[in-house]
Amino acid sequence: MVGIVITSHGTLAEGLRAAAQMILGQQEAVQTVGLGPAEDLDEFLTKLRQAAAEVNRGSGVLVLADLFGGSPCNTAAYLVQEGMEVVTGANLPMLLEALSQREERNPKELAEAVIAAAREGTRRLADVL
Amino acid sequence: MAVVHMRIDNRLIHGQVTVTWVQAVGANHMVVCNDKVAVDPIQKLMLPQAARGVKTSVLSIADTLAYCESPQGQAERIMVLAKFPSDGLALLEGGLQPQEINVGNQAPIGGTKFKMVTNSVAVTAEDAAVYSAIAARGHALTYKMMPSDRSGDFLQLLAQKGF
Repeated sequence: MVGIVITSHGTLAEGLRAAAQMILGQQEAVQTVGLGPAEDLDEFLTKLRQAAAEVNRGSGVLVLADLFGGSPCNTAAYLVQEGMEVVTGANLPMLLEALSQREERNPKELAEAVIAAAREGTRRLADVL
Repeated sequence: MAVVHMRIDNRLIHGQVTVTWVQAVGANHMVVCNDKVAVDPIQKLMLPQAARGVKTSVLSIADTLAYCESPQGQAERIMVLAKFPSDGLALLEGGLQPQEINVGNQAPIGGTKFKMVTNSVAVTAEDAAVYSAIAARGHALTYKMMPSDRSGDFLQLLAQKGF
């Protein structure tokens, strides 16, 4: 099972986890790391590394970061160097896909799957109806 | 015209906020200035990604000064993002003449004795001395999150907070 870390500005990561658990029920090996308004980025990187270590059950880790170019993403970039998968633009379709596919896939495959899920999950409803 | 605006901000570039500032001050080149960041390959790659198409460089203090003085730099409207107040002061001492200086975010550094003077600006006694030195060079220091926020005098705020 691939471990999941969600990282965001403020409490978005925790909100995403709560929303996903409302749909899929209680989940293990999922950690959230939210960046506070006045938080030191070196300490934030330490928290990210700790969270990744906690969720890693031997099959690797996928990190979902809320905003490409934002501080959580730019800090998570160090984890890519350490061999982890990081995908930006974290949203609920991505997280649901990650949680439901993580037994069968490795982190890289899971990263590709969640990006596809995010694309499929973004629609203009008037075009669908 | 070289440096139109200096922002002191240890979060450096945060996408939308920064782009709003670049537009408001009419800059066409953003220079992130800090000696440590300038030699960090990850940050050098990632920071320009947050700038949403605005030309961005990540330079040391010496390289920022050299670039701003170059004919190319003189022809541009540069917004400098100084990571720490000490970076800002070093640039001023090196001859940089920004039209405006604003204190954005200064997240506290773990292990230092700091006081939060706004929701997002931590100040230590050493920082306060640096801000005073900047003001002593004849520069007004504002502290605005967004360009449209009401402007306040940062030195007055420091005095109110006991610095």
